[in-house]
This record gives sequence, structure tokens and C-alpha cells, in this order.
Amino acid sequence: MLSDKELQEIFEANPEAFKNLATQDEDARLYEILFETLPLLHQEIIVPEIADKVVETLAWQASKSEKRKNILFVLSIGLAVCFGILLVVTFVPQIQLSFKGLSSYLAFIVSALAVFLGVEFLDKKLVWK
Amino acid sequence: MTDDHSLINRVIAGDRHAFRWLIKQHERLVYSVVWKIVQNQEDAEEVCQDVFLKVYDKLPSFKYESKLSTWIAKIAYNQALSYLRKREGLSETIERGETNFKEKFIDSSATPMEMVENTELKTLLNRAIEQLPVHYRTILTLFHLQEMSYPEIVEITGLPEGTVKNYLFRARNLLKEALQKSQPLESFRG
Repeated sequence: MLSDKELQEIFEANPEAFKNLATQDEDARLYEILFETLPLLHQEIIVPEIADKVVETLAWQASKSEKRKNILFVLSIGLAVCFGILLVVTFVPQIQLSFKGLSSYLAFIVSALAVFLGVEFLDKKLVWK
Repeated sequence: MTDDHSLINRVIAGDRHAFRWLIKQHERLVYSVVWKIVQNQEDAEEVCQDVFLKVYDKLPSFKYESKLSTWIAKIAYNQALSYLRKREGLSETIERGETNFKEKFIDSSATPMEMVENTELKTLLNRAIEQLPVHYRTILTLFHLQEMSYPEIVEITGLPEGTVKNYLFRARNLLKEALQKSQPLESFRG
């Protein structure tokens, strides 16, 4: 008479020998019934529709994160503008002073800008034609 | 879309159809692991969705050290156990679980015919498996229903191989005793 442990070991090591054993030993027969029935339980599992729900949740999460990013972007631009205004207001005297210092060079800057734009225009019109 | 490698690359690249395919390939495995642990359809569905969302997040860190199915089953196992802990504290010990099982299926004073009246073998086994301690029924499911090997079960559960073998032996033994008690052997013979 084999123990339960021995019977289970035979089943795992040598299924054919176990089948033969099951015709003679009552415990082995019970195990055989068990081992034959267990895989059938797997076929009976009805799996609900998961894929669509998961993909929908992913899409929803992505749009939520996109919205959050957009809000963050707008907020950061707003903050940058506010910071710029604050800087201008704080440094108005210094800014005025530096513009005064530039006034003597203004003619030079404007003519240099005009030459640059002229060359760019010609470049577009003639070279890239 | 056959091998895991290309499927994973496509999912990581943001291909939702590939991810849907990945879910379809593994939903039965995930659902059966989760179901055996939480034993409630609504909870099981919720946990399964969480499992696949986690798979999607963690997929870029998958190292190909095990099969994709084993890796997914491990996530399912841990997610379901953590859900169960939150739901009911997972306070039942293995010993207490075994005692409960024996009280219901082996030591019951009901006669065999009373116990299995109008009940088929599969229904009886399903009921019995539901009453097994959570680790027993999960390992039994992975081995017999999912046909996984010991190394794979060790990988999924994180339990030592000796413990896995011992739990599987105990689970089969309890089920055999339940079968023995429930019906005379003759009635099972075709």
C-alpha cells in the first residue's frame, strides 16, 4: 500500500505507471479522478471582457494627463509673463537709463538691421529662386 | 504578431492594438489566478483591470528573465493577494484554513449522498477548491489548470520550492479526501 506522497510522486514522475496503478489502488484511482477533472475546471472559467475596459481606461488616463500638461503649460506661461512684468516694473529707472545710453547708437543699429534684412531678402529672391 | 519580443516592443511604442492582443493572450491566465484568490466576480474583474494597467506601466522594465506569461501571472498573484489583504486582512492561517476545509468536506456529519445530492463531480471540486487555503488553491490552479512547472510557480509566488511542493501535496490530499468522503468510488466509475 503506497502513501499519498508516494502516489503523487509517481503521478508527476511517471504518468503511465500511475495510470496502471489506478486500476489496482483505490487511493490512486481517486487521485486519477482528481487529476483528470482539474484541467476540465479550467475550460469552464468564463473570462469577462477585460481588454476593451483596460484600453478605454488607458485612453482616459492619457487624455487626463494631456489635459494636466496643457494646464501646467498655460500656468507656466502666465507665471513667466507675470514675472516679466514684475521685473519691468521693478527696474523701470535702470531700463530707461540703458535706453538713453543706446540712443547715440540708434542710427547705426537701424542701418545695420536694414542691411541685414536687405541681404536676407536678396538671398531669398535670388539665391533660392 | 507571434513572439513576445516584438509584441512587447509594439506595446512600449504605444500600439494599443498590440496591447489589446497581449491582454487577449493572457486574460484567461490572469483571471483564473485572480479569481482563485479573491473569489468574487466583481472584485476579480476590477483586479484584472488593475493587473493589466500595471503590466502596461511596468512593461518597459521587463527583462526577459522569465516568460512573459510567468511575469504577468506574478503581477496578477501579488495584486490579488494585496487586494485580499485590504479586503479581509488575509488573517486566516494555513492550519485554520485546513481545519475549515476538513469541517466542511471531510469531518462533516452529513452522509455522502446528502452532500452530493444532485451535485456533479466538477461542481463538488469547484466548491472544495474554493474552501482551500488561499495559497493551496492558487498553487493548485497554477500547476493543474495552467500547467505551470515548479520553477514557474516559485517565480510567481515567491515561495521556496519545498513550500510550493508541500502546499500542492496538501491541497491534492485534502481534495482526494473530500472526494473519498463525498461519494463511494463506484459512483465515479464510468
